[in-house]
Amino acid sequence: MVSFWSYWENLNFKKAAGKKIQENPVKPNNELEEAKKALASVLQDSKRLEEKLREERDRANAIITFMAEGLLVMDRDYKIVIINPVAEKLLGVSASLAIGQKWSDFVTTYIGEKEIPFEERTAIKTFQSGKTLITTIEDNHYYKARYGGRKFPVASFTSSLIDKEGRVSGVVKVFRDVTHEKQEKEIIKKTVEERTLQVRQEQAKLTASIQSLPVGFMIIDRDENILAINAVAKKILDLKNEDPTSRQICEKFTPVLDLRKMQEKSLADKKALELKDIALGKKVLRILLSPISLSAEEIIGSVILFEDVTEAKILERSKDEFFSIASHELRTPLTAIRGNTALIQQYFSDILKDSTLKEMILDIHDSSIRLIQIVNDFLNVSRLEQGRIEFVNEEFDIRELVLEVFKELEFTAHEKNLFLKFDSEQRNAVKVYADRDRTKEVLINLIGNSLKFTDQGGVTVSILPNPNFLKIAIIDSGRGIPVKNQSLLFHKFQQASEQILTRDFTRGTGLGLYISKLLIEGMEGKIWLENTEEGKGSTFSFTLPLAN
Amino acid sequence: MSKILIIEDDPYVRKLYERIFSFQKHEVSIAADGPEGLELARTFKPTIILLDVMMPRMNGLEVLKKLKEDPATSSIHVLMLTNFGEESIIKQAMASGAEGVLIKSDFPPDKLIVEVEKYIK
Repeated sequence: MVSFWSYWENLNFKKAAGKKIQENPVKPNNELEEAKKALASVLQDSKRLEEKLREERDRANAIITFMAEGLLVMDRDYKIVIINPVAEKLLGVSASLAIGQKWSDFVTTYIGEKEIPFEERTAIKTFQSGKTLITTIEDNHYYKARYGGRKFPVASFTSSLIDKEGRVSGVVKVFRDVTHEKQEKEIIKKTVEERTLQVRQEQAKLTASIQSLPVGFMIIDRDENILAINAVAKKILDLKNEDPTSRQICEKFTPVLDLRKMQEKSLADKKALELKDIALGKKVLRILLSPISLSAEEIIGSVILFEDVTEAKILERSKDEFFSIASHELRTPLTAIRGNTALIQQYFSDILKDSTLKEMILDIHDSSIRLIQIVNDFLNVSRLEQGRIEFVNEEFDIRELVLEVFKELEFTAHEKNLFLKFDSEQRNAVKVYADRDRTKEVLINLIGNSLKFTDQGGVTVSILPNPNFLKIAIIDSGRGIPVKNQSLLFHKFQQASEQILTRDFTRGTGLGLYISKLLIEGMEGKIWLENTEEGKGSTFSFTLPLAN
Repeated sequence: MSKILIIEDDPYVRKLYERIFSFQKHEVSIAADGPEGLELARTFKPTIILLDVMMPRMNGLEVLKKLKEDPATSSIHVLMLTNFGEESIIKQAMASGAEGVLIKSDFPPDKLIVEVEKYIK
């Protein structure tokens, strides 16, 4: 290897120094002494300078030798004058072979697969322009030594050497093999491509799912940008343009609903929020707002679902109307049947000699009553479920009411030879705050049921005042309720078995306990099956608020 | 014996009510709709009117209002009868001066007599 500094010295300093000495002629005598002194001084300076230069040269040599990049210096004929060990290794040649060779003859350069023409080569361009040129991994440059070695990708730094006249005297090229980086980059690129494909596939699936949803679907970020919206949502919200804004959507609901506020509430509570019966023009919507969270802390937006429930509402309304009208229409002829058969029995019993005829009229009469009760149950359920029954709550004595109910059911109990017992330690009035008529309805239903299913013994009603409410228990010594039927109690149409079917006293609808439940809950109470044992009896309990 | 006017569009219910009170030896007059009923209220001068709510041409609530507006009929007791037990109707009837609103199917002859006798004794 020829050191950079020895080349540099040859090129400039030594020539210049030599010239200087030669150009100074020797002066005689005292002048000679002075000249000697001056010469000694110059020589001393020169020696010092030489020493300094040597130090610099050694340092530069070390740098060039041990630097991680390949380094080349070429002269004005593009001939290689310096090559460092890394460059030797990268190009797969020895310095002895490289030195003196023209760089362009010695190494072919490529962009990708294409060879770079002579005039396009960076060294040539740098030499001609004097400018420093840098190629990176992105430029896709490759080197290949003509006499062996492999083709490898490079990143290079090419700079000109300027002599003291300011002319370009050579080119320094520093380069490195970027095979490894290129591979890494390829891997990253490939991974990114794969991931992108995956993301795009996921996105396609999601988009297809969202678009095929039968409900309106929208994703909105925290800055109220709409990230996704399906066609159904646009149709429901009657949005004509392709890319609606959240502001447009919010305005649709003004002044009925502040959708933005609702979204904020859902985000703040970190909970889904359901908005029912929201009017939008002639439509009725159900809206569901649900926060999208990456973690417990990080919420990135909301999913908003819009469901058009107009049809369902119309259906529900017509069902209610049907119930009302049907029950009215049914009750009118039933009134005539019940009334007339009652009148026959009252005023014409002496004419009715035939006992079968008498019985037939009695059956018609009883059946009409039963039918009226069924219609009433249907109507009550319909009204209770819609909250259309007003509870007229007042203070009243529950003891008195229980005794009143006993009086009404006395006949039935007596017929079956059963007792009706009021078990209370309370001697004074126990005042509750509830609707008296509705409470009576519940007591008649529960005690009536117990009498129906009790063959021996009887029914005991006990009241237990607690600090805030009163508990009323109806205890019978009847048949009890099989386990499999217990879960069906208090449900609508609890006719899962014959026993359950006929459990209702004089009612055939299976709605008795369900109505009782709705009534008690409407009065802020609870109702439940306390315990039951087959063959031993059942206890039903309910609570009511105590009067203050 | 009292005078009872029945305004009811359903012929079977109308006949039933007529029978119930005739058997009780009351003097009964019947009308099949509101205008006819209003006319009879003035001419027949009953002590009590049993007035149906849902009727064609003029509903019971309108008939009630007219009865209460006319000084000739305003003091007659009016008992509304319906099978359409909406609470809003009951409230309206009570506010317009009816004595009460009864669900027809829940009032068999004996119970209806008890209710009516509250006003004719």
